[in-house]
Amino acid sequence: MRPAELDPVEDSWAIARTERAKHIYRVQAGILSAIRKHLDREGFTEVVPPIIGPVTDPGIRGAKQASVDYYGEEYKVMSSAILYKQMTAAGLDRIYMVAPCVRLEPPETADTERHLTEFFQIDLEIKDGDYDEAMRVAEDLVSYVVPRVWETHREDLEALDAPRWTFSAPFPRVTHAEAVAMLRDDGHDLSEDAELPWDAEKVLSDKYPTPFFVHDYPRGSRGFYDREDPDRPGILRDFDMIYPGGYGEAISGAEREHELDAVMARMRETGEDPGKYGWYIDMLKEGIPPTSGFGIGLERLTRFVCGLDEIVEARPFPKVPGTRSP
Amino acid sequence: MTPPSEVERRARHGADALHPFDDESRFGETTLGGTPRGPTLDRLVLAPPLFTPLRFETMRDLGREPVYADVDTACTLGGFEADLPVAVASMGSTDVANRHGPEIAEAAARAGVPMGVGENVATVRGYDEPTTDQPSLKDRTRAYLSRLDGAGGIAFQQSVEDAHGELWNRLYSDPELSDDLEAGRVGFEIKAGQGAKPGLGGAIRVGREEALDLVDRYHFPTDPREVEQGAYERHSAPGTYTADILKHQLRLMRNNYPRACLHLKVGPYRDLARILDVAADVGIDAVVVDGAEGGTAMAPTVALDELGLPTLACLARARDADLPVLVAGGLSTGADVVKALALGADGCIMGRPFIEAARVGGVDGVTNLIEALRVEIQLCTSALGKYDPADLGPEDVQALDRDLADALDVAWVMQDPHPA
Repeated sequence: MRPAELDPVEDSWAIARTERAKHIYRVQAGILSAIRKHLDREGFTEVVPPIIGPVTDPGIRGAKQASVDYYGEEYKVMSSAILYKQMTAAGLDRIYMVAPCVRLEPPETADTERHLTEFFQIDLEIKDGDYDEAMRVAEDLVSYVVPRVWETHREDLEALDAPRWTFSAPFPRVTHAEAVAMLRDDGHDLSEDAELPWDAEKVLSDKYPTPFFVHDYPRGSRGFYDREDPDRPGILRDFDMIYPGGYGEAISGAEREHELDAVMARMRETGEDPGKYGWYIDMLKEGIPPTSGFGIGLERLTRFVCGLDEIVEARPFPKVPGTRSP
Repeated sequence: MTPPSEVERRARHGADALHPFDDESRFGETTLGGTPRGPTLDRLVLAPPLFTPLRFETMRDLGREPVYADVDTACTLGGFEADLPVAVASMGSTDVANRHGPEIAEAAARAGVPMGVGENVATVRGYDEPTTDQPSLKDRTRAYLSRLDGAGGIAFQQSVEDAHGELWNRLYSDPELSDDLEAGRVGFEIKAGQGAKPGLGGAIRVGREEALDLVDRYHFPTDPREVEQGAYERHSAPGTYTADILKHQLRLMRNNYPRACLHLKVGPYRDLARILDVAADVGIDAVVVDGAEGGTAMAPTVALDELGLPTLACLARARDADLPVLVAGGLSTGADVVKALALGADGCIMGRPFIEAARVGGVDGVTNLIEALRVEIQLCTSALGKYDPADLGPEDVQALDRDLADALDVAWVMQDPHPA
């Protein structure tokens, strides 16, 4: 156990060398190396991610971007590598990035136990892939990594009293509409036009013994880059993967909107000037092949594998919304 | 028709003559409004009856004869609790509005009157630390929220240009606003137009230093980097919409900012009915409809004179909407408010009167104006035999002109709709 008198956020510098922290960080290293081993074997090429740029993922749910002064211009610290993945996948076919992300989340997310303002995400993209393929890659990845880490880090996991997850691909799939109906049956007041609220998602996560997918979110609930189904207007060809046991969202992924008109209309939904996305618009004008992909958060995966109550334990020097810490 | 003197001005100054102000002008000192064209609320009278069943009910409840002061003006306005069916318009970064912003904010908060903060304030005046000699966005916000005691709420606009600085995300993740967000006292207002210049973006005049600072973010017809002069016109984009974009933007806002009230401000557009359908379909806290008589710090003369439907026409089109509608555009008195409510508005928005009041007497001036509005609303409402402004209806107004009466489906003053 971590010493009770230490605050996991404000005293993170002191926690970083406790026995418990060492077990967690070694498991995290094992997870990262298992992910790389699996993806490399599956024909993915690791690409180093950009750290700053003139624009980044606008995201949703009210998280603000961090800025840096770049020779007098305001540049953004990447909130995800999303905008850069399409082009690299267009060149290398199957790519992934171990990408640092900064999102200044609203203070209300501080007690969801799964929001950090600074985190790592394994962000991957598949040229000519649809979202079914992206989901298959996601379930294969998680089904490989979890038992693999038990092979390589059994002692650390046992010391942490980590749960022994047993599951295998394929994972159950429910549509967003089905998930909303299930939760409404349980008495939750939910909108069918919105992303699942965090508390409702946790309830859903408690219902399943294995990771599962929620797919086909409604338009207006996600970023402009999730592709609207041409045959089902208002429905996006996208998905989340959710961990069982109340651990919540693991992955967000989608087929990408890659046609200029569609992207411009979707950008305007955020009230923005598409001109802000300069190079990205130029890329779409030139034409880019369809791609699909997802991002899986490293700290959340670590929390899930180790069975940690709080996300703040799942990395050294955690930063939580609204709190200043080392 | 443009009078000959205007032709002469244009011959001398070219496009510079299209604005009501020139370099030596009073820009920043005063406000402008569209010239009323066609019927206004002045072509309607309030029509009190003698027989007043609601007054009887009020008498029964009170156990005494009711007087005007028994009218309860408290209501819900755009999702906020309000002590009056009136809110302060979202006035932006322009000198005259921004300079008086904190005074108006203080008086409005103390009176329980909701308030908007217009576009470009954070971008031009600074988010927290003032970047000019004028109040920043947070200065105006604190002037309001720190005085709030009970009813009230503050709604923030974000322009296309403000979106670069992610104003809404910044406010939503600002710990200083957490409690007010939780209490339902914070809203976001999408600006999709303005009465004085529908279809055009914001336009103001800024000094040279400011122009050089903003040149990357706004449209400057004269580039301050190339031409040295005292002041420059600065334009922002109006924003591009389709029904589909609007619908999904509203949904996205609802989804992104569940703790904030959501308002949509539109200009006097010919497709107002469709806009209101889209907004009602998604379900938001209010649509603010700003008629052509709406005020501004600056607009091309042609916009003030020629663009958009009169406020009364907007009201006629908005009265049956399936969501709360707040009307703006040239309203200034309690009688205006009572007439608008009688015609189906859920509340009124005023801008220029508050600036004028602040210019006359600072915080006290605005407080006095609000008090006068409150009493006038109470006087008129009680004269109509009602003690809750929500009970006002089309029977309470009559039109001086027959055509107007027919168009609004209210009585014509020359003809008793219910002859004995």
